[in-house]
Amino acid sequence: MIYADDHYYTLHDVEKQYEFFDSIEQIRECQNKRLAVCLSDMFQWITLCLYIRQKGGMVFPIHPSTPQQGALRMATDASCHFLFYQSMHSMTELSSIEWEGEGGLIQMSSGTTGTPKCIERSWSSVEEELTSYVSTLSLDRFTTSIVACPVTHSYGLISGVLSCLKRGAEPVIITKMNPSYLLKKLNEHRNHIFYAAPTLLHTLSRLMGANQRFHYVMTSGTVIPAIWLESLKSVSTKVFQQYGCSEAGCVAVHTNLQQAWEMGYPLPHLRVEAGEMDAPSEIIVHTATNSVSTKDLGYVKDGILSFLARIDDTINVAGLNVYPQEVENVLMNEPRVIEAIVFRKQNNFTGERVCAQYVSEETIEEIDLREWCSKYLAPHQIPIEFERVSSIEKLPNGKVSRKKLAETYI
Amino acid sequence: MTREDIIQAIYHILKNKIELPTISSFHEEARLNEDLYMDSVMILELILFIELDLGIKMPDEALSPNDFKTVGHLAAFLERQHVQGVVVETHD
Repeated sequence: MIYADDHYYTLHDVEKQYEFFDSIEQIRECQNKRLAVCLSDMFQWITLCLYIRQKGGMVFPIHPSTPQQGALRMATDASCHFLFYQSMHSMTELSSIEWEGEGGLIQMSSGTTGTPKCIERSWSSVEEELTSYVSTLSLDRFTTSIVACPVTHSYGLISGVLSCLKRGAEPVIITKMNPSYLLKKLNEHRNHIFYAAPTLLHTLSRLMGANQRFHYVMTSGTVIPAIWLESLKSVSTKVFQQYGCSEAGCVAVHTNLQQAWEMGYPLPHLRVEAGEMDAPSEIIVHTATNSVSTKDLGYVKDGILSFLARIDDTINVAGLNVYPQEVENVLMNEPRVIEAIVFRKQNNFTGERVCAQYVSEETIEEIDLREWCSKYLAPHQIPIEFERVSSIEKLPNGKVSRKKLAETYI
Repeated sequence: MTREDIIQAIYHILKNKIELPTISSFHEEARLNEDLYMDSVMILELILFIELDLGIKMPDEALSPNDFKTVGHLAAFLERQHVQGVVVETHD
């Protein structure tokens, strides 16, 4: 049914998990409930997700590296009733306010005003995406999805795991980040489609021996550098790319990538609006029920959607989005910090990194700032560099410019 | 290759190849996550350079997180790998 690292779980194991969930009242009665879940056991998380979907409840997956205080804050912000933190036996009740809505999936995303916002997707919209996605990829049930990216986010969860289950194949979830181990797993399942962030794909392609090859690889989340794509193509049967957002899920898929900026053909259940090659504009995605402004700049040519740039300042740390405002809010809650701004900095080897400037009356040890952040933020969200400045540069209109700061550091 | 050599080599990779901004906190007891603030991608890059530059072959099984807890733990782990003779040619 499903592999998590070296463990193979059968349908019988899934049934046993379901029986266990049945024994917990808050899970069993999850209709009209919003459950936040932060679990390191990936098999338990996936089965819980399937269980809640079947019951029609709402679930908010939180990345397992999130510290407890951070998970509590996120669960509260998302108006969840309960938080399960690292164990099904460790439950915090957050709210008892009645909630009547359609069940689905909660994800965090950047909003138009900049503060992270809660995206809610109904299970029926996820199902619609899955049907459309599976038919577009047209892989058979003998192609294994190997997922080496977080399965708490839609790329790993919906595209990686749920779509694989939908086409009757058995997904392999990898959490152990050892390149040689990953290569061994790829070798064990030769007929695979491998889901990972571009940095990981690049690292692995440099380690591959003469007799090692990827079958299909999927890249997503950021435009892969052209030179990386070339080396990846030379060790893969085919390179796929997908483009999407939390609001609409996967929007476009390319099943034979030649140019890094080509995101692919829009999925059949969506209508995608963007500019033309010489006049790009914001990519707008129309679903059956609503329209989503992506804040990404792009164009459509010969039916293929191309992506040019992000309009907002989201920092992409190895495929995981970091929203500067979220980190700034945490920093500015430190009593000694007067003002803070968070922006991205490029590192040749590891892609985008989170950096911060702050203003304070007194000197603050960097270690103190890191410790403060680590109480509320996941490791990938914590700034790698802190710079104390006398004032934060503002634009003539009085607003800060993260983009400008990011540019000064390139 | 002595333990000292290995620690020096790790320092060299982190400073010059990965350009780790927190390199000033480097010492034998420094924890990779908590003190050096390395994330999983950086650790992956470190493993890659260890294989390619030091010629120490990593086992193809899931690594124990304990082997990557501190610089000293990592050095001890690499020493064991090295002694076991799983050495490939260096690419330097």
